Amino acid sequence: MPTKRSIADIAADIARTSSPALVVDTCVSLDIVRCAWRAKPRIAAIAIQFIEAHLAGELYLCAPSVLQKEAGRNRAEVEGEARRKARDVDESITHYRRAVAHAGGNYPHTAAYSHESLIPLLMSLHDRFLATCVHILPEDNNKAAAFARASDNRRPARKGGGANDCLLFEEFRSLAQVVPAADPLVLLTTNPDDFTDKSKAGAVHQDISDGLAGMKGQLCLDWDWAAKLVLTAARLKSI
Amino acid sequence: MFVCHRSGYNLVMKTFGELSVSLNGLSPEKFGELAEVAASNGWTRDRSKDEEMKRTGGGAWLTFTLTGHPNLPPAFLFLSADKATDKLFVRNIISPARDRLTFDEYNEILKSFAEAVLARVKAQHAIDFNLSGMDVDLSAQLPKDVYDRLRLFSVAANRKTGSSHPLDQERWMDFLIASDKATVTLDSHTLARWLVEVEGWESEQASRLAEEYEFGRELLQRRRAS
Repeated sequence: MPTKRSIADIAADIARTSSPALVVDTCVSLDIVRCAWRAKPRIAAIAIQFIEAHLAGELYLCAPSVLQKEAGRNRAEVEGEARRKARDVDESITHYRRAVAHAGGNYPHTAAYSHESLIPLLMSLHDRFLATCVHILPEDNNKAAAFARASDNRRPARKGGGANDCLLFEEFRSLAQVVPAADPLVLLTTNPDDFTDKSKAGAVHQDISDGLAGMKGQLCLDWDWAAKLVLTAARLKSI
Repeated sequence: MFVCHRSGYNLVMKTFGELSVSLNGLSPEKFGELAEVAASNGWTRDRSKDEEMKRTGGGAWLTFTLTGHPNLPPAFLFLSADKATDKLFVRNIISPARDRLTFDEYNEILKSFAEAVLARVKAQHAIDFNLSGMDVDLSAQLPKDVYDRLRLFSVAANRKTGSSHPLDQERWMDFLIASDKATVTLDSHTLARWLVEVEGWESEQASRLAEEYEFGRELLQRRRAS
């Protein structure tokens, strides 16, 4: 079972270690499973770096209260899609190999590797990543603020829903209000539809900027950039 | 799976509808009281949520709850007042049973609220309401010249290569320039949806074209401003 702590306790942990802190959303954790088919294999390596940095006390890896439930809900679908994509690769390789043989050529790749066998590895890494995160305990004030944000249709909510995204954002805001020591404090989301403004060339949406105004927390929409931000800070602190 | 349907002779896309209530001099508070009494078919007013909104700084607010409907999920519907126009607007509908409602669910809940609450208040008082915007029809929303260029590109283009063939590229750029000249407010997400749902493009190519559109429009705007 992953560790669950209140925002006040998490703030105290971060203050004690002065480590950078990274809060991740559901699509981030599922990116680990999707990394190969989305042509972003580095995500698996970065996930391992985050885990190791957290275990070494150099980074505080944190998850909103809805993450476990949301990841569980989407798990079977994402795993199934990853397996299908991997099987497509296997089948394509078989077709190429047979075409080469029929054409009288020589196919040098003879190893019988099933790309689908990668998926359990990625699922296992996804589970380890979730288990490493310290999960925020839900609190009534954040639930109420998230409900208000969703009902008022302020991002990350959109018409028809987004209450979970709002809870995630409100928990991040609460954390940002009480952890002045975290340097930096980053929210990593790979869900640009809800957090950015398409009509302004993908800039962070005004509702999100307003929500973070005057706080130390910052939004990051990319794994690589998040890694640069928090891992560089972690390394610098360890020198 | 994408959803599209015919309206008249045009293929249109579904979207989230807009519901507004003209109060015609009635105060929002009085309307709330009347609507609370009139509510039927699973609709009730939830004053506790209104109080929550006040506590979190949400301002004047009316919350209605739908429960026990045979075909629709339970939902909260939020109305807020716009003093300048003497109207109430549905700000959002969220369901405790779904992270996101579909277009159909959202619009059916709007219709249900209009019939089970608003129509009953309207029968007794001089309020009015308007339910609109449940479809996106680019042929009606874009200037004819812009729409024709977009349609010409879409019909003539090689669907596998998008805008890369010189002739397709010419038609695509004609559309981009026409969009810029007419300063149309079409966003890339809606364009991508139109390409897929109405025109039958593969989503990957549609996304690529939407990115090109976004970049092209941005570039042309900069050029115009400089």
